[in-house]
Amino acid sequence: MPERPVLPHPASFRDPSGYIFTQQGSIFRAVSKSYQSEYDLLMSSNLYVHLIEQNVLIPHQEVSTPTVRDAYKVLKPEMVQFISYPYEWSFSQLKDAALTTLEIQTQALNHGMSLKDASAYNIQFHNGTPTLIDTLSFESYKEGQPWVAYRQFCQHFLAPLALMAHVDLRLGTLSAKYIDGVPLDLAVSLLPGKTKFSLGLGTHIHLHARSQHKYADTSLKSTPKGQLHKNQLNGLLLSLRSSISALTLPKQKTEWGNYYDNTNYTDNSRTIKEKTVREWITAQKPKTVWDAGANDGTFSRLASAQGIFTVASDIDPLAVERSYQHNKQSGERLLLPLIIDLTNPSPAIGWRNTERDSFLKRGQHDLTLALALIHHLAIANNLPLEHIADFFHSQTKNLIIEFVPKEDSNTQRLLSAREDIFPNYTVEGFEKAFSTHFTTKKRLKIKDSSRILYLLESKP
Amino acid sequence: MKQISLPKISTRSSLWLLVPLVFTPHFAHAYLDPNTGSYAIQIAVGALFGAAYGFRTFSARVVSWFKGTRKKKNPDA
Repeated sequence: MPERPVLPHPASFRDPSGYIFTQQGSIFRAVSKSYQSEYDLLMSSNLYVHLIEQNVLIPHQEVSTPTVRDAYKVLKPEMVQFISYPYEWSFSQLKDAALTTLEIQTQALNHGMSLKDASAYNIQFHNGTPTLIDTLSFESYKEGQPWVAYRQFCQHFLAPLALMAHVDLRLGTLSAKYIDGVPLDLAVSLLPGKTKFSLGLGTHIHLHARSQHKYADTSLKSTPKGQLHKNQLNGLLLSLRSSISALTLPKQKTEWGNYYDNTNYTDNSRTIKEKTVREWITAQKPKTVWDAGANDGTFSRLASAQGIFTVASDIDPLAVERSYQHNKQSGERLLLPLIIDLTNPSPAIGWRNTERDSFLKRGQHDLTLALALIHHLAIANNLPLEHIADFFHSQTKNLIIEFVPKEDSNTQRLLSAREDIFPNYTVEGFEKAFSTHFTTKKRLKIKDSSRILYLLESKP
Repeated sequence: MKQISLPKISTRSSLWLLVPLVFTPHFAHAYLDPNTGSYAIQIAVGALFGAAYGFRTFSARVVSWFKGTRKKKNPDA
């Protein structure tokens, strides 16, 4: 193959050890010549094999093509089905990602290496479990040197988890504002005073923030002297692990956390709905499914149970937490629960707004489920039906959507405290709005219910 | 989630370290070089966590030594 320059991914510029690029639909990682000794140590120390056996590092193959100038090696890592970001994860997803990072660092130390990055963005949910995707995050360990990624770990993992556990679960979205993690002085100002008395949070957040403040003083001439021996570093990791493990989900009741205990379906109509959705999914043979208002993923599993990778998003952090816990208990590998507000999905962030893609840019799905969702978009959020139809058309090839009419008690509840300014919110209005972008392939009025299921196909 | 190999830590006796935090005011300034402070705090608390780690490791070895001894005495157990 003739040599030709490749363009690094827009998010791949911070680390001179290498860069990511895509070619012919595949993702590759170029290893810089300057990183040669570190990469060789990763492979020869058996650390790579060890982490692969533990399923905490993305496997790769060394490839000879495509040819890249000035690279020591070119790696072809396994493809991650869907890239997600820490501000889209539930509490336990972020907690597991944190514990995985600490485990990797511990194993790295045992093999004479250390993580030079502890970015939450380096962790992705691959086959259902948190996995490090940045193979070039390792460097040889130098006795006496403090952990260079300690600050990043505290900002990316410990601070948001502490805020979620001690203040409000919704503060996990704070990471979307701060791409290098929640500043520790901000975490200190938000956390309750009692956290100062916790050995872990008191040290790794409160004292840590104070130390940062002290050494930020440019008039200060002194620099920290001393070394951190390996046992001390292991003790630090042990303390971080204990601090993370001690954080638990706050006892909060969210809007939809118990949704499936309170629906409008009889057992019979619910069975019909499940059977119909399952059959329609099977008939479409999609490679990927997006359940756009998945709650705890009950209906999303109709797809993942058929071996189809499924993104199950919901606005409610507690519902997504339940979905993830279900995944862990059942060993689910193909369902990715994410916290997404459809009326304000994750934006593109970072340098030039290209480091982290928006949620909508990351996914083009073969099939989308929008079950018991449209009344929330149209009635609760004033979104015109035409806009909703246009939105789904931009995101999916096929759509299974449930129309929830005004006579449904859940829609009535949404209308009870406000003026009905939705004259077009009718079956006819719905079908007219969606006919612009979709062809109706199937339609089923659910027995013992006023709701209607549609299987729609996007028009070109 | 994979099994994590690290044991738990509990060093309540060292809470005195955090006492200064209670009596000092909050701050909210942007910092210029957060990494220097992050290095410094690791060195400052390293001895404490290192001691806790050493104690843990030593305890685990003692426990495993006793278990190993008992196994030798009762190889069929």
